[in-house]
Amino acid sequence: MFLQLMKTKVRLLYLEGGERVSRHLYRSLFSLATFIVFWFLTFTVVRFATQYLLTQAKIGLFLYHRLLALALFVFFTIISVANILVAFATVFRNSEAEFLNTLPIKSVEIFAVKFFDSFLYSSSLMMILVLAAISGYASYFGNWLSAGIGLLVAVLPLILAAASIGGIVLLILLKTSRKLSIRTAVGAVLTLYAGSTYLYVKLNNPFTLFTAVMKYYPHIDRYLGVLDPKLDYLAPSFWSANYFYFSTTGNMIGAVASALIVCTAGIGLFLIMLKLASLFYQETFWTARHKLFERRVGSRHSGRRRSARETFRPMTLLKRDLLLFIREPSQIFHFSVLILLIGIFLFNLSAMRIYLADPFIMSSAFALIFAFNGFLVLSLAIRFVYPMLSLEGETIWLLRSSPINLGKVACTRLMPAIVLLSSIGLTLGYAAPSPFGHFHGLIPSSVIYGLACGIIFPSIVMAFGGAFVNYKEVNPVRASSSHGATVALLVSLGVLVILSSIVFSGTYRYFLSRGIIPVDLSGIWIWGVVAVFCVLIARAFSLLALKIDL
Amino acid sequence: MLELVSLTKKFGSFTAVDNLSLNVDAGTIFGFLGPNGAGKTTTIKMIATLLKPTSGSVRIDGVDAHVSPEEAKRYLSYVPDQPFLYEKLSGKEFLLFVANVYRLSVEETKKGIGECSADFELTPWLDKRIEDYSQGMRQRLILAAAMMHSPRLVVIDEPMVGLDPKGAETFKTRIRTAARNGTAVFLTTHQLSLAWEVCTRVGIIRSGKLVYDGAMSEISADGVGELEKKYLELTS
Repeated sequence: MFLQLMKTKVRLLYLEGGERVSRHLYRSLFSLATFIVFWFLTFTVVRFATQYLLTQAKIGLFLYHRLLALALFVFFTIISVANILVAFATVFRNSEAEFLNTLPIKSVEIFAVKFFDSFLYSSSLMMILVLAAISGYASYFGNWLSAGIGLLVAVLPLILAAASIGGIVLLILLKTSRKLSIRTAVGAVLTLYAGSTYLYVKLNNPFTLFTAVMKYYPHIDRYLGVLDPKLDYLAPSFWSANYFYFSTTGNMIGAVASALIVCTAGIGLFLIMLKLASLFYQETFWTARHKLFERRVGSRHSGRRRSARETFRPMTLLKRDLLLFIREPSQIFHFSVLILLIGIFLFNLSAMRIYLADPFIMSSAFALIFAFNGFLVLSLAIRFVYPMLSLEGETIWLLRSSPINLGKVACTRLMPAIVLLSSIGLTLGYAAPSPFGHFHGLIPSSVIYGLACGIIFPSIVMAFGGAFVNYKEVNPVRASSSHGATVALLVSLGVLVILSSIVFSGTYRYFLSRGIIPVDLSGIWIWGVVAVFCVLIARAFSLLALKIDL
Repeated sequence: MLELVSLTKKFGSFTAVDNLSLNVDAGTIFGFLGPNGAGKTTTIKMIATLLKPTSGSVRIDGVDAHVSPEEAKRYLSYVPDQPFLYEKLSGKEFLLFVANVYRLSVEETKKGIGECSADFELTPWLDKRIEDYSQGMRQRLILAAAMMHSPRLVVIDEPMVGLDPKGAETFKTRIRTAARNGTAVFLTTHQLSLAWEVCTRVGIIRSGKLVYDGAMSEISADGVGELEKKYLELTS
């Protein structure tokens, strides 16, 4: 039965993909171009970074691969968390999952099929990223064959392991939520993830490792496993990085052994997840449905329901959106988590001090902080702004058939997002120069950059939300991980790279003069023009989406 | 065929279904009536194993639906009020998918698809994609899929949604034939005329409690008007 289900799913993927290309040719071509540009950018960045670290900074092959292990650990954690979120929407709260659960199919088979569905949904961008990064790596070392094999035996199993851990955590979370409250269970999971990430980063602090490795200079290409914290052995990402180290240094036995460990971890965790699913999926499915119904019934009996007529004025739309937002647990929960992360980042930023004399590194560090700020704003935009139009869903007829100016509706979607995200961008921009201590001259430009990010990114994302609008998608998490959202993310990342390089060149002269020559703000009007242009584009695409044939 | 034993579903402090017990025998068309929010859909979702009861049990042909859900679902066909369909598949592909899930043989599949698509007048549409179907066509398709594997119990939530008069008539005929062949039918509807026309037994639920359970002939011997009067009396 599993094969039969998978066959249907693959056929559906093929039909949907084919139709997407034939029906929306320009959109598909644009998506393809975006993927290619993103692929090329990642390829170039990885190749350049590898070259810089090994030939300019001369950190040696061992430390380079430990940095790779750190990056793979972050990648592993992101996939795992993303899979928890998307799997919850796909495996438990999805009309197809509901349909399959009414048929005589083994619950573990339903789980497995929907897990792959969620896996493809949440990991496709990561796979492109990995493919591009491995190509960059292989092109530097010239080991295309072993890197290609590495993709199959060291990276794909790593992705499978990460997604399986996400699935295991989700099952345990729902299983325990019958006894613990859902808040306590989610809190425990968050603490677990935050704790393990903190521990890993603390144990593998690149600066400490750098100092330790340099004691062995000039033998820094040798395998210095004695420096590895023993806890690292538990992370599949560590063995993945080891595969690349051993295959690059020609130690085939080490490479095979590392690959075997990663494959065993990936397959083992997948099998454990399936075993848990065979034990718990049916029950956890009921738990998830119960909680969904509890909320619906609760709102029906607390008189919270509003009449349809309430939605007919723009201000009422805002009120409706706010109410829908705060009453959807996944929305408010994810928003709180992201705001908490921003809070932690701000706290760390204020505690950080960068004492470097080299203006190149100083401006690079400032541009990196700017890029990270921009990425935080962009993450919020992708998660919350992108689905806004699609979430009109099956009530779009209500807006279309009512005496309301759709242009105003488009603005009521965009403006609150811009106000909120530009406030966050502004705060981040204000905090960004704090690690540079006495360089107060950075503050005005940094605030302007932050503000611009808060306008540009929600606008770009909203424009894509309009261009790829899907009124049949009722789940905000799935909408924000869809194909259109991926393209929006890639385009925005491209814009972020360009903006970061402008920030870099703007501040380089400032650091070079040790803060005497002010940051060059002569090009600030370009940021203004870009921001206004993005807002207009966003409004135009939102309007198109609202006027689409239903 | 269907046995609900002291079925209760609570959501926090709210009791959606309260100690509901009833039996639906083979060959019976049971109309489950009640006002909005009375607990009909919650009951149906428990029968279809989409919700687990807080207490009590659902037995389908003697199998506890929440202890052995896979086995119980072999005997069951469920038609929800908002059915899920794979939009990109054709009607025929969808029916084939359902036939495979119920493990019908090649012969049974061929016969089932042929008969059901003819009965529900789907034949000219079978090779078209479901996304091109009208609301009524979709409803016919989902009903055809439900009847195709000759289930022992059919549970239908609001069967007439989107059906034109001819489709409605086809549905009534098909459901009566199925009942004559021993299938138990459990349906909810707000159309009292439909209930009066097809149901042999009727149950009325109000605020989660079953307030009436009896033969249709007992409650409305003189026609649908009497059923309506009794319904309003029991639910107001």
